[in-house]
Amino acid sequence: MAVACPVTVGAPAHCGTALVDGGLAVSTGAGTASFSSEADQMVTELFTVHYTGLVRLATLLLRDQSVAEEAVQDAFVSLHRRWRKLRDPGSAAAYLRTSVIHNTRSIQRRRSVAARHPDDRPLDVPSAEVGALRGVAGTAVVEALRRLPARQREALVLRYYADLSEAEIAEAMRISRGAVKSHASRGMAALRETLEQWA
Amino acid sequence: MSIDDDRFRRDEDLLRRALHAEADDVLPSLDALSNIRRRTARPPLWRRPVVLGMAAASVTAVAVITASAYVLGDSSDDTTTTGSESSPRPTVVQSPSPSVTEQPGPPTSTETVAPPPETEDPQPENANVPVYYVTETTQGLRLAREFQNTPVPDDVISAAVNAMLAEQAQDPDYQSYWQADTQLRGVEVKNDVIEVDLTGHTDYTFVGNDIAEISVQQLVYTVTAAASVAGEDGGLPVQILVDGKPPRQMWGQLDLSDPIGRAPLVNVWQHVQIDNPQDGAVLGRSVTISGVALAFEAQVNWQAFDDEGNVVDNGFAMTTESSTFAPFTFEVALEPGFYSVVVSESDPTGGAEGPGPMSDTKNFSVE
Repeated sequence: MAVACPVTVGAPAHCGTALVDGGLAVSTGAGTASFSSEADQMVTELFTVHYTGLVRLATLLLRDQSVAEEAVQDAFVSLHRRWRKLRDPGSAAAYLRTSVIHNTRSIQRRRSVAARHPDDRPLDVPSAEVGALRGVAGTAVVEALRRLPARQREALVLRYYADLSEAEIAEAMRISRGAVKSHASRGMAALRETLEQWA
Repeated sequence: MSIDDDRFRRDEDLLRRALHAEADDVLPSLDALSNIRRRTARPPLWRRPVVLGMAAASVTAVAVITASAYVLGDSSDDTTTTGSESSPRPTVVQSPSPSVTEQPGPPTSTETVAPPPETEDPQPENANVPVYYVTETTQGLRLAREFQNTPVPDDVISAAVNAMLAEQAQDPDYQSYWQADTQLRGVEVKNDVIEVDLTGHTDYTFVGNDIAEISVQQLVYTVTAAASVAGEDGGLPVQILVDGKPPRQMWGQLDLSDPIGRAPLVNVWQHVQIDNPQDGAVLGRSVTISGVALAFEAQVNWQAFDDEGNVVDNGFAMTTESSTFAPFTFEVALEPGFYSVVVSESDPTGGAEGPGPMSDTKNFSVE
């Protein structure tokens, strides 16, 4: 199992590499002439460090990767717009996280509104081979996680995937630390049955 | 260590491994960075067909500020109360602005948890200033407004323009095509015109007409609304200056050499505007939703969604007057949690004809 990239500042060096490849492969075609201001540079740096981790985080919350990428890209675009006010790469990471969580919530809301209209396509379901590759136990746990209420799911993913502290989770979810605790423990309790089966 | 603790640790470990295994399969797409760059590049590259139902005449020098009964003339427009439950932080408002004193501010930040109340901090002096943004509706780009709680070091108009240029809207559906590196040099209220002097990035000639027109109106509405808040004449037209001189062109192909008045509300405003609560607010269980709408038969429909997207309550509310922009208000009782409320204009055709109803959405939490 590869080591995942934390969504925090100061990610290990390996987290950047795969991304830079991806970024470079693209930027040759896109051109960089107008990409010179401080905000542009910082967004590129933050992208290198955080993009993969944030997309993974959002995918855990949303299931559909392309929608998750949209949520994360929106966060980078609004970071760029706010850069003059923010200025600090440290708070930028927190801003990105909060913004991604916020965007996934909006998407989930729109989605469930759409799902009530029978003409719309159903929610994405993971393909069979993805499940087979990943192992039955992990899939069952992740599926159970996805059936949790959104706040519980967010609290658990931020803690056990992103490895954030309680204070960081509270900031990202814009709730109190007490509320983080209660969402996480209710979420864990709800998952217990599934976890017991595979332990 | 107890057996329960062991079990909990084992569960935690299993969950951690399951999440990482799932996440590791996710490889970001290759065009992500170029997508972001394209969207943050200057000048903006938005290309959209001209859909705004705004006649060219609306942005000529002729003052079209007679507009609607609701907005100008009386200052009820942008001095309506806002965010009455949204923040515990009282704010100090510069005089002269008789109708906005002592308003609690809207949440000041979207990237952090609510800051602790600082009731004893005398500076900087903050005020709720009306700031206009642009939102996409079923009838093209329209103006939307927010009250930004922002420092007012000089005058209210400057504060509003600075907020418009530099601050992102609380509401994620509201945006601005103005860039943060367009800067304000100064504002001067004269007898027959309000001059707004800009500098820095002032070349928006590449944008399409619809964006140019709505963006200029965004500035005009922000300036005139702030003027009425400050006790000045909000009915004056606005002369945009660049480094002290009227620009021939700045936005798209619009001629900005003469002053520009407010375009009629009906042409530029979104038909439903929720003023209260603002997006991201933290509220008590009895939530009052208020705003302004141009409503067929004076009726707007509303739905409250919980964070799972379930409708927890819905209903309709009446505006005080039909067929013109008029205030509406309604209350909804909610348990603690996260919610969004959607208010939409009623559609007389039932969706059979026309572009569909406009709506405004606010997300907030109830504690």
